[in-house]
Amino acid sequence: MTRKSLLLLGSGLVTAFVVAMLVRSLGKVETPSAHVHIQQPVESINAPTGSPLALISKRSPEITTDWVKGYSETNNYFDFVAAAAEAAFQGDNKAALYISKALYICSPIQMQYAHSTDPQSDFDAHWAARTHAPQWAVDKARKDFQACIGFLKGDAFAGLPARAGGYNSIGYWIEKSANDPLAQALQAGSAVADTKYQTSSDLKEKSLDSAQQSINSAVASRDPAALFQVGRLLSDGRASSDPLQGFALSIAACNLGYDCSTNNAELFQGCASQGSCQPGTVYADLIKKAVGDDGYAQAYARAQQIQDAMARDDEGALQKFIQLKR
Amino acid sequence: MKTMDLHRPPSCTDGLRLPAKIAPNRNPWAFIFMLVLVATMTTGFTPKAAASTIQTAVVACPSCASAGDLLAFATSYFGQYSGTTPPGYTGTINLSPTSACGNSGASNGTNLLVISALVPISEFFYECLQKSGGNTISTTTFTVVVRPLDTGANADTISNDALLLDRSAKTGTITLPSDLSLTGTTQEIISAYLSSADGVPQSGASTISLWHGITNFPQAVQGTFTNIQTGETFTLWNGDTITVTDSNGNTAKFMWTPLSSVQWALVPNSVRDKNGNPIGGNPMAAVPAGGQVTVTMPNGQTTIVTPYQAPDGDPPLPKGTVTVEPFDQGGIVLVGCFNGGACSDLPNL
Repeated sequence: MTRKSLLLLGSGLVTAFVVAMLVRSLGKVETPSAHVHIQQPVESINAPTGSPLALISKRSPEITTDWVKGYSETNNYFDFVAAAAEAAFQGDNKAALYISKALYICSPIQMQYAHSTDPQSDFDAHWAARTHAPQWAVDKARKDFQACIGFLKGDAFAGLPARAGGYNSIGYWIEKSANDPLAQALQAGSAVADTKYQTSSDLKEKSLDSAQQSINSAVASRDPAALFQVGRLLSDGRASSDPLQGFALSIAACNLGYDCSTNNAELFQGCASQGSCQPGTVYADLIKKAVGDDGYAQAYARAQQIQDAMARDDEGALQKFIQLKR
Repeated sequence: MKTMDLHRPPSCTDGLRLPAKIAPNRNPWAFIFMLVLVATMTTGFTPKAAASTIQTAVVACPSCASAGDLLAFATSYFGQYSGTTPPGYTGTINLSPTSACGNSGASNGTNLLVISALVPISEFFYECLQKSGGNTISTTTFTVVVRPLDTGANADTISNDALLLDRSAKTGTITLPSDLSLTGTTQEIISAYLSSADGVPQSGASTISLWHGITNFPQAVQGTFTNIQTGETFTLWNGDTITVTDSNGNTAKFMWTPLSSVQWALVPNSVRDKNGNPIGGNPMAAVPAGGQVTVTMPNGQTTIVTPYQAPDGDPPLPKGTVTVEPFDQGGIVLVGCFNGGACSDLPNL
């Protein structure tokens, strides 16, 4: 093959590749090996510009690197995202996960009011027309709107290198969180859910393999939040042939420090304030409701075995508690 | 398609399903048939058709994607079970009277509800004998046909499906705001909207219970939701689906995925336009952004490409000149070519 033909072939492939990169970079997937800028000086993805530290100290002095706490306690998701963006971009998977969670709440609001000249008035008018909405939903809408209103006024990712399509994609940050244990537990859930509409047994098997791998990684981390999420997944009859194993894992996670009370807003969805659960309810109550006191006792006994296995770092003993149904 | 000629004696199964539209005084076969019928009844051999008719049978079609698919599935089902008892039922699947054939639907026969498990469409069908010959009894031929209870058009199957959901899960109509569309917004954002206070927010914690209360089915995560637009409250189990409509009348199914990264996942191939026609391909896929862009490679080489944009609400793609960075991570065949090396160094060419 001549050098000229190689060049022609190469340029053709580059054209195709550039189109693919444009599609991907504007869509959901960040490709680490190449990226495209629009009339910008070439910047390496490994050497971003901006002033993230200044951003953090200026916008949210209370938000440090405890992204879980920062996310759960903030009433301003814009500030939270702005503070976490640089760390997430640099590879802090936990920061990326909680950015994706914040965007999950704020993106619909951002889209709904992006073209509004007076978002607050439009919001009020919109909800005044929601005559069937219960008060708790109106309260939640107002709280979320206030926490997200910053996204209508500014760019939380201004300190990051330019990226075609920007950084507002939820999927982008979910992908950036791939190595976080909780994110892995959630990925396992997604992979199991995918199997419902997969008609090929090979494809289903691959999804379940991927889910099992994610579960193994999440459990290996010993992160209580990840353990709890794996427990939730395995307590569902679609994922496990013995849901008590899942309950046992969740109980172990609660014992290891995961907040299993109604103080955990993500878990209980503010049920106490809505009146849909008693204050003081804990996750154990939900388990007892599902499988009765005897079932709970069995699950609790297995939770002890799980905690013992973790204390011994006995992965073999743990494996029998975390297997997906095949 | 099955046919039945009245000029021959009815077979055992045909006769039992045949509506009595016969002139007994002039047709000897009719007389014989009546004799056989009376004889079987008096000797205790009650014909199968005399068993109770299943008024409504329900079956899910795993791969139906159109009204035509539903009809084909119903035809196959009637072909398999007509005159018999399908699994899970008592009574028999029976024909509707000929007088109902082609009219407003069945009155005494079995109505079969076919629900697509793939896309948000459902339809009622019934089986009947349709005249396909002349009017005199000696030449009349009847054809067994399967008909939809109403128009059977794609749009109608969507309406039926929505009604089913209203009745079973009480979801009510879930309409996206005009800023979001099923053909132009990523499913992540639609998922986020559905989870928001403005969509179908979940009230209280997810619990675990028997799937739809069916005792022989495993336990599944369960949640209670409120349709903010209608105020209706409904319960879903992990993997249940709802139908979402956008302001253009397009519909799609979303599955509740409470154990995943996002709470609602688009059911594959479930997007339909307002007339019920499938919207081909992946509606969330990238589309041409309009215009062309000149791409400048690091070595100065330029090429013109048509940019594509994923419709996820990202800002519009600016037009003009695009500069491509050097591929610095390796593993791509073009690395050497545009990173200052000679093309002959490319390992995979």
